[in-house]
Amino acid sequence: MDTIFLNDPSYLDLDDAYRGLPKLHEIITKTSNLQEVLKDMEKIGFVAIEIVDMPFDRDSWTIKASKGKHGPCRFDGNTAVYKGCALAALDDDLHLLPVSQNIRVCEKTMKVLSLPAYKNFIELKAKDQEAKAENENEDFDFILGDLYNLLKDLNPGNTNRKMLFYPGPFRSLILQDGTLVRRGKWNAVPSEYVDQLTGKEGFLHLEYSESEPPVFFQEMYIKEGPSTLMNELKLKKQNVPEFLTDLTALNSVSKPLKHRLLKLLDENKKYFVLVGSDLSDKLGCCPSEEVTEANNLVKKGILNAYSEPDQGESCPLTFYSIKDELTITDTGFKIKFDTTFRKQIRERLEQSPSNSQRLIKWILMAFIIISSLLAARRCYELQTITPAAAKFEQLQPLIDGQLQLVLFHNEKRCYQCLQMEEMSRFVIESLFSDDLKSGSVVFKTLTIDDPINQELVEQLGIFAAALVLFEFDGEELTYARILPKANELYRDDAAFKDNLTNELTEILKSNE
Amino acid sequence: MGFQVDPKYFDYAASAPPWQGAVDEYCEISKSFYANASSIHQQGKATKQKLLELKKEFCDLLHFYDGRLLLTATGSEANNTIIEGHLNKYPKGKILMAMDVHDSMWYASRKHLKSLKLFSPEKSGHYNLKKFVKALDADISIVCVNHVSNETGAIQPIVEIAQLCDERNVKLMVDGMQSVGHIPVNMDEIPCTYYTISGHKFGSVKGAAGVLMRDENFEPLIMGGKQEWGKRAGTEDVAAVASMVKALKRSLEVMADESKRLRQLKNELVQHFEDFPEFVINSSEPDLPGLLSVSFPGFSGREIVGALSLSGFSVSTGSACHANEMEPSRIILSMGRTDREAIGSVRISMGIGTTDVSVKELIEKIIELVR
Repeated sequence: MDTIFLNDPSYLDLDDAYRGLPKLHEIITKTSNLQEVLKDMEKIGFVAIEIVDMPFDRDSWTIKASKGKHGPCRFDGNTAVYKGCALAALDDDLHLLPVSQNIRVCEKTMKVLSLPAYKNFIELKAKDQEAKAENENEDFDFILGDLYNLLKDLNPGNTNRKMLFYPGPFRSLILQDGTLVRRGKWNAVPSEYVDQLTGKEGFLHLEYSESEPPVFFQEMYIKEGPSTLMNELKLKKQNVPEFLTDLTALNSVSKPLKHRLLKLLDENKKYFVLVGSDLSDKLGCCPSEEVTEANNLVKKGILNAYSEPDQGESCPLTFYSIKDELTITDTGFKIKFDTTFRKQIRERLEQSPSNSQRLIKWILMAFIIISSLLAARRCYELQTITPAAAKFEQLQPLIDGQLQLVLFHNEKRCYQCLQMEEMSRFVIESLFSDDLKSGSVVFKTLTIDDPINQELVEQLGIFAAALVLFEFDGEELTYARILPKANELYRDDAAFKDNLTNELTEILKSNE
Repeated sequence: MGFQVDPKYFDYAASAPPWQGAVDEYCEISKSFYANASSIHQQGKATKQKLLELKKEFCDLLHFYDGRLLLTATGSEANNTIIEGHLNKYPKGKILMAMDVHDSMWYASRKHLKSLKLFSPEKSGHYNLKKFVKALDADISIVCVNHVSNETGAIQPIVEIAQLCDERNVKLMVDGMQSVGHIPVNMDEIPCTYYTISGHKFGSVKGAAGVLMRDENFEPLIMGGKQEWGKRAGTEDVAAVASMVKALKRSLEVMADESKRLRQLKNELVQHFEDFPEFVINSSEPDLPGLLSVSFPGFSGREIVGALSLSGFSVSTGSACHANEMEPSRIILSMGRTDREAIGSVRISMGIGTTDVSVKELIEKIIELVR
């Protein structure tokens, strides 16, 4: 495995080294400025960051990290279980992993969590459909909410504590009593957990002169909400055109989003967080229906969305708040609840669609069904027609019972009709050469714009390139059928030829 | 722009006029960071840091976070570097190359004939993914394709091609000379190995080009120094990168509005040429908004270029003249066009200085010439 070594790197040196690293390979760096380098590494996108050597003089820390994941992500049923001794762990891609719970991860995260740094803490289950189905609670916001509910009644303030250094590889851990532990820092942890944390989780007894107060997740959560776990979060309001508020958009929100919105209102929360990308972003990381729905509410003037401008390779994290309630400041954000608007949202959410709305919905549906049936009927009529007994000179058969394959095209030839012609000729000339020689099958082209063909074109209802089969009884035109598949398959050489061959074979067989 | 560009210039795909800011930036950085970035003194280190900063800025503008920008002097050097570097590193390597690539890749069809397999675009100028997969034999070690065809402006399905190569662990080199600065390029969505770029195609000073690389397993073309991580010897031109950054920023700023405007101008050209059934439009969507390739069968593209030049218009042609005989455009031929169509092909490429009036004048002049 290629490893890059760097001494006292600047941010740009680290960024350059990251760019030059092959996927998931390691970098080892020595620095006297631990906090700065850790912050830089997290920002650049390194994962599995671990402090692997702590000097006595604390002048030269050795940090090991790997290159993160890149490109669009794909979920294929993989799950990960955190099996350490904390209540939950947060990795460098901001996946929140509660202990012993299957969490759905994409194929790229699967590769990251397979790195040696996570070996003792993560169990990976490849393509475990059952586990995927169980796991409905992989959502960042809901997991945090659950953790908070679990911890809110605990009062761990008076416990005896010891200072332990956490070297990683996770960004943060939440311990069983709610103590929030950060990587690369001394954390005041309950004495009773010390053996477990040093033995299983790799915490270190490092001499520390000052006693730091513990940080509790439950307190931070009340104060800061889900951003508790994000170091130095720099949110920016997403640039969406301003729309007039349209509360009717709330009528059709899904159950999970409705539940989330009600929670936001009931518990007077400032915002909620969603992980994933809008479905319209075809290559976005972690596509999410709920993100798409929430973004729609932003467009409808109900919510505002905030995200970090440069989220690197993490699954995108978006904060949603009620429109105009949140203001981003240099130190974080300020909130000013709009109680009237919140009340209006609540009322709308609690309202089920009215009877008149239901009636309109049913009328619309009936209209759509009837229109579709009529359209289908018209389409069928167009495809199988028997032109009136009129004789069309341009179709005059040379022998009785001739089958004619005719390509109608506009005077200005387009790519599609040229393709259709080339492939049709190929089929006729190579697979029906005997029929062609005997004259029982012919292929010809006719110009749609030519006034001579006007009547025929009108009867057939053609306005663009079309391939049509004509059959004669004697000199009488008895059957004409537009081959709709020809227009669909013109880009697929093999499928076009197969389809046409089958059509011709069937008609010729039925005439035998 | 800052200075007047001749509205009769219709050859932006060959070289775009530089943005004033890009020229100013080149001068400014040349004056303030003149030290050699490889020198170990303070000024050298400062230049090196500036170089890294500018490279990062350039990469970030293209959403390229997991690879480096290797500097070269020209786009052709960038393309040569990867093809030669790959075959020098892997002498048994085999290349799959699209037939519409630029000559700076196409040279390999003569020099490395035994290592080469070719695939042609469709009549529309676009790659067919099914055909591509069929051509992607197990022994192919690198694929060389365009993001945007330099002669027809066809935008290729590059994300899909990159994903197909990535899934098969085949290296992919994409020529992005005509795409960067003209259409949105999100490198995070294109998992290719190499993506070559050239600054003067989007308004930087000339002499600034490079390879966005996710893999450094190739032999250097220019040796004798450890610059550019040992992949290209020679003092780095920090000012050239600065000029590229400025030019790219400016191009991205105007991209949405310019694309709309240029598409309208192109539609006007197409509408007029479509009145003549004998003319063949070689460009079809999805394609560059400001580039149109059109064939005038029976005429020589070179004659048309020459005649237009006498009237002050600058256009270009893919056909060439060898030993007094016309050689048809290889790229137009690869799309299944006839010799006559390929000989009579002309490329009209528009940009920031093109106006409604100049387009109308060009149409009139061309029709007068070929009627």
